[in-house]
Amino acid sequence: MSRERRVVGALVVAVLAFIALTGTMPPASAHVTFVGSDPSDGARLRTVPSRIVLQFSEELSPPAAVVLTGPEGSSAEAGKTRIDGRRVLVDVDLADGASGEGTYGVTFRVVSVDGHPVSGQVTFVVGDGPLEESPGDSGAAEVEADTPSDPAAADPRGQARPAESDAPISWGQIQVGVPIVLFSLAALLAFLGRRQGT
Amino acid sequence: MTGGSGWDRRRVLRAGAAALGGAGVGWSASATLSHAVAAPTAAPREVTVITPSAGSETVAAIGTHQTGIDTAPQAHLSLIGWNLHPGATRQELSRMMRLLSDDASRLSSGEGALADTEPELAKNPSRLTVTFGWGPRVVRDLVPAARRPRLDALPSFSRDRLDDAWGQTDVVAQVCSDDPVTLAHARRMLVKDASSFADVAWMQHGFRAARGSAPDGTTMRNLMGQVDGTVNLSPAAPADVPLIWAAEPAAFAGGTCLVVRRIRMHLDTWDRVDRIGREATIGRRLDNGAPLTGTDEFDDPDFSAADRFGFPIIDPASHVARARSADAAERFLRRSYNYTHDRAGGDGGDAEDSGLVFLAFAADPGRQFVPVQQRLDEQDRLNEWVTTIGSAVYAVPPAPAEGGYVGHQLLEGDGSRTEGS
Repeated sequence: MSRERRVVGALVVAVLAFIALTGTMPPASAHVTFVGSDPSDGARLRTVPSRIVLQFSEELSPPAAVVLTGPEGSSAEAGKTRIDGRRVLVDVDLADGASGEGTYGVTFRVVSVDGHPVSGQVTFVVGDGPLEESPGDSGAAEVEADTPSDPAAADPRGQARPAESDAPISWGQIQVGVPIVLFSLAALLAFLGRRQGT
Repeated sequence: MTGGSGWDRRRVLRAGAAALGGAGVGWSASATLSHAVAAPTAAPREVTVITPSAGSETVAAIGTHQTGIDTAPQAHLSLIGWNLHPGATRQELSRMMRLLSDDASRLSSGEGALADTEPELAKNPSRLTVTFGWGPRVVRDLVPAARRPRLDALPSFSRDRLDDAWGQTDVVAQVCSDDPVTLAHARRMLVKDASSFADVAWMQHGFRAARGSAPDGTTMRNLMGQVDGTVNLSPAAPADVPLIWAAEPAAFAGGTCLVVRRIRMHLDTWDRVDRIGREATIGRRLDNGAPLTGTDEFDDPDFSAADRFGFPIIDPASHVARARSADAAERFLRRSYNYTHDRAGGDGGDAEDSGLVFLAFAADPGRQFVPVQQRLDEQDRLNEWVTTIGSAVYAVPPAPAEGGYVGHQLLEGDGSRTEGS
């Protein structure tokens, strides 16, 4: 086999292997994401906020679950929690006279009107003390990436599952984009090849 | 990279173009194919071979219960709802029941009905069963007080959008068979013979997987793709028996009550729900119906298992969590069927509606079914995509005595007890 053919063969095999490995494609889905909060994650405040706002990318469906954890001996509690379109509003009840200084965690799970759940946690600190690790998790705003059951697997629990994409590019886009890139490169090379003199 | 061993720039570029072009074709073909190939279903552990004898199978009418209740669900359903002609008397109801019971008994054993115009269509009963029930008005007005079972109309639920077209009727027949031709014939005979006593108010047709496409006993899937009916009463389990079969009054012993709810699915908006959302809404996995906290379909859900944020893995607002009760009496025998309903020429939406003819048997629906439906009505993530458009309840009499017709013990008494009439 000529060296040229071997190169062509190797390139094709490499690309087809990649296709085979990524063969089970989860459906492309645009789903709700956590956009931000007020107070924002990691914020430092002078006083305990009277209300916490969690912002999401899509309309939400009740009920929303929000848990407020505070510093040791804190007398701040999550009060009325309600959904307002794409936001969750949580009233914070603080006992009269309490300073409320320390680190707070706001843990949430909400569901969009398209049924998709998203969980996460935000922390903020009141006063001059350090922003501590909140109970149960590290301080960064984390969003849970749930993994669905794999429709093609006989025993999905024994297999690595594709992570539900929080990535900005969907599989649908990749499926279309890769051949376009490949064909474009092929056309470019063919064009260049023709122009080159021997 | 210059000449020498046969490689020059042009050859490299051409080779690269060929490779990339070929890979691009391969990728496109693979992407197309992976969309076209349906998700493989779990292979059945055993193959059910359909031989001509499957058509000759019958369901024996033995014991004190009508058939079609603890019978393994057949593939096809027709529910026929009749309203008696105005002013119908107890005698007229008993004449109607006598005719229909005779039809049911003959057709179920593979014989044509009396004066059957197509007796050959009865030759493959394919486990045909016919189960009769009476609505609250008939029970109240035509059954003597001493023998009258308790049957309350179902209450209204706030999320129901009931269409009179699918409402409560005086009489119902649940007709089931594995063979749709047999079913059509049975339906037509029953309707013909009832026509001098009652008018058909509606017919609700439904279907499950064809006999033999999955091992017998496989839990059905509804048209949302979910395994549907995992948690269910079992007539074989002694603890479940009093929940299915009524014991009083004596004339009704061995009977039950049937709840009929026509549940329309909003598949156009359900299409927007991704796989995670679908599983979270129900609380069960789609692939095998296991609860999200388990691995097998029949694992008990663990409602207290929490994720790393401390929230229950099974959303407390999910369908499975809201349907579950701490009260073991709030259970019923589900025997539902899928339905599709042509809507050609409708408002521009789907060409057909899809849904569930929800059927549930319970000795006391007020105690066993209503509280569960109340809970779902108050909160259930699934509510976003389903609407109940029809609702009815019926008293299902016990099996007739030898030579009798369905319901004769209630209308006429059996003569051997001292009951008032």
